[in-house]
Amino acid sequence: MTVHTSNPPSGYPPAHGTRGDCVLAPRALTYLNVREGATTALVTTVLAVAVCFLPDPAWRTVLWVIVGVLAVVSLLIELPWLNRKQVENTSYTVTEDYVYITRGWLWRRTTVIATAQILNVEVVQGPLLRVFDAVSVRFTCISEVEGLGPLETDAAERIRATVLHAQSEPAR
Amino acid sequence: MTLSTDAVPRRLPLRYLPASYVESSPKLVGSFVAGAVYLFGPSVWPGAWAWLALGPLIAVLVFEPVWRWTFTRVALTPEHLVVTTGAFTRRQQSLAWADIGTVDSRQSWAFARWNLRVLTLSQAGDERTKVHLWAVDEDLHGEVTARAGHALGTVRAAAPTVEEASIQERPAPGTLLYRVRLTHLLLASVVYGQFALIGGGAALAVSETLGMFGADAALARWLPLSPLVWAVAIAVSIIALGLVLTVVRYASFEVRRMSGDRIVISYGLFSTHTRSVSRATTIGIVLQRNIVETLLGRVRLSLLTTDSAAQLGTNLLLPSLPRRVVERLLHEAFDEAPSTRLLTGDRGARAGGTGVALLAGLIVAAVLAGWVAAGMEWPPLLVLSTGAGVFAIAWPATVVLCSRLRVDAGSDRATLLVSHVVQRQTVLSTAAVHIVGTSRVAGYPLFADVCFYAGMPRTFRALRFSSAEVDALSARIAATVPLARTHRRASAPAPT
Repeated sequence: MTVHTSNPPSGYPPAHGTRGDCVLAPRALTYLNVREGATTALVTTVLAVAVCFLPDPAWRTVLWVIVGVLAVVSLLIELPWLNRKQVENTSYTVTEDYVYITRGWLWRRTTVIATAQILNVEVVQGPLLRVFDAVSVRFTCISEVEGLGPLETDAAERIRATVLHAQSEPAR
Repeated sequence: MTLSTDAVPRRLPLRYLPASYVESSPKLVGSFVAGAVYLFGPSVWPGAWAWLALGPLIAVLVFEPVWRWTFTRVALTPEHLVVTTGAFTRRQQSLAWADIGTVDSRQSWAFARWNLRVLTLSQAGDERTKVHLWAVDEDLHGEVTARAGHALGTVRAAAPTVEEASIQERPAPGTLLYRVRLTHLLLASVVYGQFALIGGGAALAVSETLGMFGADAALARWLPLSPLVWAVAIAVSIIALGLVLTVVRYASFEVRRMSGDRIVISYGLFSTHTRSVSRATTIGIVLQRNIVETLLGRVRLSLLTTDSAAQLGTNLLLPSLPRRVVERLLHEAFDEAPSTRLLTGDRGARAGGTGVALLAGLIVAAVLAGWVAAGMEWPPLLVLSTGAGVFAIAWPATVVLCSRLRVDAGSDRATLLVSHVVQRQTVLSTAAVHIVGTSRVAGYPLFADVCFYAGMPRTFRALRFSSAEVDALSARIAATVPLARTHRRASAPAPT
C-alpha cells in the first residue's frame, strides 16, 4: 500500500481544511439563531437581575447599559454573521474507512477518525432539535467525543449505519 | 455466583501464606518496633496516636494474605482465565487467552524460597483491565503462560536456591538482543537520576530510623565532624546506596526475542521480573535522551505498548547505550531499517545546545518571577511558589513549542519528536492512530493532534508539521486495518 502526499485518489480523506461531501441540515442556521438568541436572552436576563441587587444606583445603571450593549452586539454579530459562517463552513464525509469533519472559518478545525476506531455513534435530539426535526451525532472515540450537527434525521441514520456496518465487517 | 466454566476452580497454593509473611516480615517487624517506640517512648511525637496509622497497616499485612488465599479461586477454561476474588462482593474476572498482550512474572526473594511467582496478565487497557494472580506454582505458571502464548521457557529444577531461581527465571534461548553490563547499569543509574531517587529514599529511611531511636545524636557525638564533611558523607552515601540498589534491582537485565514474535525483558538479582510483550501489543518504540545522555552520545530505547507507556521497570529495552549500538539493535530486533531519521543518526550537538538553552531560559524565567514577587515584599513561601509556578506553566508550553510530527511517504509509521530539555522520539505505527486533527487560523496551519492509546488515551500535539504529511497520515489511518486489540483480529504491520 502506498501513501499519497499530493493528489489523493478517491476513497482517501480530503486534504485537511477542504470541504467534505455533506453539509448540515437546511434549517441548521435557523436552529443556531434560535438557540443563540435564547441563550443570549437568558444570560442577559440573569445578569440584569443580578445587577438589581447592587446597592449603588449609579453602578446599577452603568452595568445594565453594559449588559444591554453586549447583548445587542452579540446578537448583531452572532446571528446574522457568525452562525451563517459556521453553517457555511461546516462539512463532513463519512465512509466505511474514515469520518472527516471540518468546521470553522477563522479558526478552522479538521478531524479525521478511522471508522474502525470509533467505539460508538450517538444520535442525540433535545427539545429544540425536535422542534426543527433535526438531530446531533456524536462519535465516541478513545479520547474525546466529536460532535456534529444539527443534521437531518435521515443523514444521521446513514452515518450510523455506515459506521456500524464498517465495524461489523470481518478483519481484512 | 456460579462459574460459567467447565474447569474446576483452584485456590492459590497454601505456601503462598508463609511466603507472603516472610516477604512482608521486614515491614511487620519495623512497624511493631516503631509502634513500641511510639508507645513506650513518651518524648517521641505523636506517641501512642501513631497506632492510628500503624494499626491498620499491620492489620493489612497480617490479614491480606489469608484473605486472598481464602477467597481467591482460579479456573482455566479452554477460552478464558477466570479469577474470582472478594468475600462480600464477589468479583469474577474472565480474560480470554487470546486477549492477553503482556505477561509480567515476578518472583520476590521470599517467593523464590517456595518456588512461587506473582503473575500479572494485561490486555489493551488501563490498570483495571489487568488480572493479578497473587501466587502461582510452577505448574500453574507454565499452564497459564503457555495458554496465553507467552511461555517464558523457564527450566524446572528441584529445590532451587535463590541464585538458581534467578537463573531459571530467564527465558530460554530465543534470540538474545541485549544483556546489560555493570558499567551500562551504573551509567544508566546516574543519567536517569535513579541513584538520587532510590539512594535518597533509602538514606531518608535510615535517617528517620536513627532519629527515632535517638542514634543520630549519639552518632554526632562519636564522630564530631564539621557540617561540610557530614554533607559530603551523606551525599556520597546516597550515591553509593543508589548505585548499589539499582544494580541489585536491575541486575542480569536481558532482552530476548522469542518465538511467536514476542519480546521478553527480564532482570533482577534477589527479586526477579520477567515481562513478555507480544507483537500485537507493541504499537511503537520510544527513543529518548536527556542532556547528559546527549553529551555522552547515548540513547535509551523502550517499547510503547497498548497497556503501558512507562519505561524503567516495564517497557525499557535498552538502558543508555551508544547510539550506534542502539541503531544496530533496532535493526536486529525488528528486522527492518527504520526509514525515519532517528535520534541514533544524529550526534545531538544541536539538540544538546537547544536543551541547555531551554533549561537556562526556564530557570531564568522562574528566578525573574520570584525576584518580582520578592520586590513586592511577598512572604518567602509565596516567592518560591511563584517561581515554581512559572516553571511549571512554562515547561509544558515549551514542550508543545518544540514538538514536531513527521510522516514519511510510503511508510506505515508516524514519528513524534520533542526536542526539549529531554529529546524524545516516538515512532508510532499508523495502525495505532485513532484520530488525526489539525487547527488553522486564517488558513495558516497552527498545530496537529495525533491520538493513540498506550495504557491510557494519549494526544500528541505538534506545532511543526507538514500539511501534506498530515494528509498522508489521515489516508494511512483510513486505509490501514487498526492494530489488533486482541489476537482474535488480524494483526497489523510491525511498528518498525
